[in-house]
Amino acid sequence: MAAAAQLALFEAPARAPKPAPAMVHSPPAISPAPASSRKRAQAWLALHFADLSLAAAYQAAPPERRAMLDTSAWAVIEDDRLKHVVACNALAWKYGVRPGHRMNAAIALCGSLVLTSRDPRAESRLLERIATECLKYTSAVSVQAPNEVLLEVRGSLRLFGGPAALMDRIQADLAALNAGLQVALAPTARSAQWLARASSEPRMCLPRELPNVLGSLPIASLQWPLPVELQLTRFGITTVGDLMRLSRKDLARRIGAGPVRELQQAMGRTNWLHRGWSTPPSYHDRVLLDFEIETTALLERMLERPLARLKRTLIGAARSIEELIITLKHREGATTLTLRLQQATADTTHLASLLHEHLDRLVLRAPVREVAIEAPRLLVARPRNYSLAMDPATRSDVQNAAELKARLLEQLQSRFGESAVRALSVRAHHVPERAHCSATPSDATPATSPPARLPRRPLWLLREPRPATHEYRRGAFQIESSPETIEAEAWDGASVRRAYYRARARDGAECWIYRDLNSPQQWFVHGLFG
Amino acid sequence: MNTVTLDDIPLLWRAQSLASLQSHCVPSGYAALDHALGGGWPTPSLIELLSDEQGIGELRLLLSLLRQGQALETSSRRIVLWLAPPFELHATALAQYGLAPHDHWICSVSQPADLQWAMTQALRSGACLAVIAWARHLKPAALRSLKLAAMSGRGIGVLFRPMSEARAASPATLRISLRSRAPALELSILKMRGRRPSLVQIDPREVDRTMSPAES
Repeated sequence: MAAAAQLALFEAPARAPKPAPAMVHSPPAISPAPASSRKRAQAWLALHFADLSLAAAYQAAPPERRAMLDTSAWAVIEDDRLKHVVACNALAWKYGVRPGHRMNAAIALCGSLVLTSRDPRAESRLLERIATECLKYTSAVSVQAPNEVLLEVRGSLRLFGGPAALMDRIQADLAALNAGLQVALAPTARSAQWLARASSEPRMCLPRELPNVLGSLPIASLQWPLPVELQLTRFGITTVGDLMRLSRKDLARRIGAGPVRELQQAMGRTNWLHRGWSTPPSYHDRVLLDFEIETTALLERMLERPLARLKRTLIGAARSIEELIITLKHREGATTLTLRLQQATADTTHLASLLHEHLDRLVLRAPVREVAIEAPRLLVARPRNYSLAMDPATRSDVQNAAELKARLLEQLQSRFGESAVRALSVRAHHVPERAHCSATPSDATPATSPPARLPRRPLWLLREPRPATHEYRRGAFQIESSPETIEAEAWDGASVRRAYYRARARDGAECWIYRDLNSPQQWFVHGLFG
Repeated sequence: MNTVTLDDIPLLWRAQSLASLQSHCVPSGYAALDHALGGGWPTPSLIELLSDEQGIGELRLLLSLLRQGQALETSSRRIVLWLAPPFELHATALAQYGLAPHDHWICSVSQPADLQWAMTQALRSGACLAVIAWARHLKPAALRSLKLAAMSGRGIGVLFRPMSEARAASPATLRISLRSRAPALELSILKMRGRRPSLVQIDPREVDRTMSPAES
């Protein structure tokens, strides 16, 4: 009995395997086998951007052109031979221009039509930016080129107050983009995608309604390849419901396996694997200035907004940075500022204060025309607990101390240079001036402790031993200890033979003096017992 | 395997984090001085030490102040920042007095404005147990901002200044002028919050006998 229980425990993880982290797994929602009924139900939200090319062209336009586009009828055209219209704004739509028209036809309908050519790279960049934004709703995001983003939101529904509230929120957040957003929520990724393509109104589909809702979808809304669509029309099939009544095998032979597999995926009978989207590994931002900046004070003010943008990105994606490169581009050449942090942070106020020190020292050699902000690596931020009541007398917030030290070091280094601050450490060496060394505090040096029976060393060490033979002869030193002889041979010829004494000078200072045994009767002061 | 410690539990706070609010004293290690100061070095505070000589025991005077929090582990210990020291600080000697040399940062700044900036930032940051600086001319307004920074960062600012500054008014919490009366060190307390000026003699060699790295 006990053995059986153990076996069951052992097998439990094997029966419910975890999906690979990079892949979003869409299992069948309606499943005949009881074994998979333990799988969690999923809720897929599809975002279909009908006018993505329009939004991308608008985003890429400089400000003065945007103002012009706002007031006129304009359209985006494909750069092929016939120059088809891909998308057009509402004003052009009013004139009768439609996507799919040839350029000549569009101009015939609206003489004042402004034409912009399509930029697929800008579109994919915009879609990726949207996907990154969407990471705040859920961590399971998938980008479907050319113009769709799929989110698995089952785990986020309660946080955002239910499916309707979440859909409203996403629509409100992305409304400013003006990319013709169509959303749909369904139990499978493929069905959500189809529903989003089919209707401009937000659609929500419960698992039990799935066959009916899918059945009523027209084939034309699925955006299948034109030959397949025409072939199905020839068969007299207009809706997905008609399609579902046919034999799968025959259908696959006639129209190909792809559409049939999509149908299976929509019904949740087959899995659909997606590549998951995560935050890009680096951050780039660029500010093109309308005017030339000549003072660092103005530059600092100007950088506030890009830094705020960086902070939003970092906090939204739970990332932090440890290096920030700011490139100031002049008419000729560029100046690069590099902020290196001891500890990764997402706190841009701290970055701004470091930047202030850098800019304070900087002399601009030419006016700045453009600023590029770049974080080469985005690291996963580690959230931290803060204590409720910090002890005000000792500030014993233990986790905080290391961060405070790192910040202070960054501040001092950004004002005085990388090597201005040094931490002390002990080295195992007989010669006093070589027994200690100093290095930048971040470098971890192993702690060495001096031998236990070593006579007291002075707290102050002179940089160079000061000759004091004359003073000694005149009786300026009153020797207070027995001699300590230090001898060290070195390969480089700097061999040392000295007899050290603790002595009191006439002015009351306690000195550490030595007699050089290599050159007789030469006395030196080497340190002060401060 | 992940271990969960009490610190990782978000809704749990330990009673030790609720300590008393009053500012307290750190015993200086010299009975006579503790008596004159009413318990020891005030903390947080700005302390001014006026002296024209070096090597008379001015650092040994501060050692017990710097030994605070040595029992904590390395990552949570606060640092001591030395700004523009007149000589090199000897790491071996620090270790012999039971201090961790790695917690002592040295920053050599030349301009008075830089020194004041660095000291203010360091004190305000809360990362410093003490900031020890050698400065010549500082305006009263600068001293006041240093004191404010020390209060907000709960640290101790120690300023070594020449004896000639004794006549100028200062907002520091504690002002002591140091004079050597070999083998003793004479401290004349010019100003101490809540106490009268007084004269104390201590023997700096006392620490040499009591402080050793073995039992720190």
